[in-house]
Amino acid sequence: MTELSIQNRIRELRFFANEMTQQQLAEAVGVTRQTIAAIEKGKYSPSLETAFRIAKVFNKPLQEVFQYSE
Amino acid sequence: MNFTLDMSFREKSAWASFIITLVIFGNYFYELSGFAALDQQAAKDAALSLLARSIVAVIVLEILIHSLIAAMDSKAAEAAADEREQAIASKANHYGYYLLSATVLMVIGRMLLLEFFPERADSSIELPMLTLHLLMLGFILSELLRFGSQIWAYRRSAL
Repeated sequence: MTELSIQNRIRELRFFANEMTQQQLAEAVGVTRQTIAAIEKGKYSPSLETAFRIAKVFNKPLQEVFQYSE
Repeated sequence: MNFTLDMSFREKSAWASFIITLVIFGNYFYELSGFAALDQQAAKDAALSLLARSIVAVIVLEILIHSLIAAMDSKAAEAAADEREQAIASKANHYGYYLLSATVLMVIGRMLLLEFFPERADSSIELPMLTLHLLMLGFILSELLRFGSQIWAYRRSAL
């Protein structure tokens, strides 16, 4: 069975965004801190809208924040 | 350990509802099992009184504990559920609904069976209002499944 997954660089991007906290990112995106933690760990795949919002916070295109691999 | 600190308002709420339901209605069914020894009218009165007390206890405890949880983080309590929380609640509601539906169908089946074959009634269960208790059991189990599924989903994505 093929395993599909979405990786992300949120932790790294937070680090380069002046050590932005998960709480700050959560508030900017409009989700809970626990949801950001779950996305960061790859335990939850966000909706397209939330993914775009996260990318917008870091001022990066979507594909630089999230990567899809088979 | 940041096990408790890492819980969102809605996860804490699910834990509270799960524990309250388990304790209050666990006691409800435990006490109810003792009523079979009473005569029909006494068992009926005792069961209705127990049901009323249990419902009041659940309402009071839910209000008290949820107020406490909300007071600890009023900002989170006022915020709407985010997409992950909505997805978790939706899936948990589905599980609860399936169990509740299955219980209702089984109770309907039992009622129909007894309507056409009254001699099949299980005489070993002498509890009056048995149909009510079976429906209550199904409802409580479906609620426990609903809250339990939420907790499981929150923990799974947190660890």
